[in-house]
Amino acid sequence: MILSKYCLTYPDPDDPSSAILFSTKKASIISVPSSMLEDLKTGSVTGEEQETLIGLGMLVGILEGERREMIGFVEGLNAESRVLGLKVAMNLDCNLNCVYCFEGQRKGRLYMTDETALSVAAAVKRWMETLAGRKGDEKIIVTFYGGEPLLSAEGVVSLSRRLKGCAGEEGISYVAYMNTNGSLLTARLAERLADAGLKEVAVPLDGPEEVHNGCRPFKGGRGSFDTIVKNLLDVSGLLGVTVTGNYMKDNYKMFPILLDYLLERGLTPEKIRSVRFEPVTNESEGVGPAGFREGCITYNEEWIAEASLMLREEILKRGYKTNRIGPAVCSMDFDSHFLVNYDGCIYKCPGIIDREEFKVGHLKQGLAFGRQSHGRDSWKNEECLDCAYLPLCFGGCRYMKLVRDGNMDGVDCRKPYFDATLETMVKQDIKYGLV
Amino acid sequence: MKQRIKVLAQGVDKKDLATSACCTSGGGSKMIK
Repeated sequence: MILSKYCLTYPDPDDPSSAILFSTKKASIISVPSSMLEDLKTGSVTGEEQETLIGLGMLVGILEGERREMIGFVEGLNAESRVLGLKVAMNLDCNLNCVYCFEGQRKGRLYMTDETALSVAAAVKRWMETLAGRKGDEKIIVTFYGGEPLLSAEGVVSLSRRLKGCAGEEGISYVAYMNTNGSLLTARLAERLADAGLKEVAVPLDGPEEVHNGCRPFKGGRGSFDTIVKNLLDVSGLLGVTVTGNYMKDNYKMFPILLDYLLERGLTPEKIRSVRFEPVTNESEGVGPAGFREGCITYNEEWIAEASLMLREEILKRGYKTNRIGPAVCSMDFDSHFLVNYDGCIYKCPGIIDREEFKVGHLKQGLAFGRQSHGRDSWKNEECLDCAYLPLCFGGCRYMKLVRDGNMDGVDCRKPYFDATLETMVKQDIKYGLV
Repeated sequence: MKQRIKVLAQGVDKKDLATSACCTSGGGSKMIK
């Protein structure tokens, strides 16, 4: 047995005579005496230790076998998965006028009709019929999306209720989430949404009031911060709330002020399920907001490593949770993950809606993904398979690749970003018990 | 022999990855509007 190619070794910050091992394949973490590292490389460990390390994905039989395992990793997930992941864009309209909105010029008074909503339910029913037998692990995960989904509040309640009912009849688990700007999320509406199966909302707050209002004003120009914070206070006992936020190079240092404000207002870690800040991405010319170029086009920009480590620490040290580091597969790679646009057209990712060349179907034809136009296997090359970070990215973000290079032919490599951040992030996960 | 391995995180079940696409990578989701 030998050490996995996807296992990284770091010094243990709490004990100089120990080392930390992190498996990017499993997100498992161990601490061992430094003297054991040589034994691990040669497989000179006891039977009990060997069993533990194999279970944690850190020891493998032969590297060639592990390489084959990685090549088939995503196909294996697809073969085993009994999960339907559906994002539903209820409209492409919005009551805010965010400076960086990636949907930019694609937005308008475009709403899903009742007929299309019925087609969503019919397509979900057809998907359930394709499942052979019931094993108890079937799941339908719907994320309501927009535009602003709560401009279609009645449609969301009605569709979610219908999907919950369909799933219930078949004994399949149903859970719904929503990406909303939060400005229309009243307590009364939250109660109805929860009753219809909605579990959690993700609501962006882009830093403290002044910064947020500059980035995310209402269409009329008024700031949206106070309205959103009030709504979050009203609904946090009714729905799970994740606070997200979109930062840029010139404002990320202000975001800790927002975290202090949330604590002060009573939106404490007990009321907020997690906090997640991400850099704003530029969109292609003619698609995103005209003239906006303050976002990033790759995670490898040095300031993003600095910003993400700093903000992660600020989130965690205040007791909030955030995403832990671990393997991640793009929705484009899952055979049963789709985005249904307001008009019934199907895509694999919100970033590529209304780009005709990446449309993979229409509700009328059912939920299927037969096109290979999304660079799905781009990471199956020597360089990526030799990279210890592969399970954390599987080729990175195809959308970002598209925005940057005008195509998805190739990977969105994040090696410099992980070189600069991963060790600290793993140690943050240990320090704050995010494991 | 004394146990030399201290397990700090068991890691994730492969099956759980299908429920968290596009949202949990080191980079996170870009689809927050």
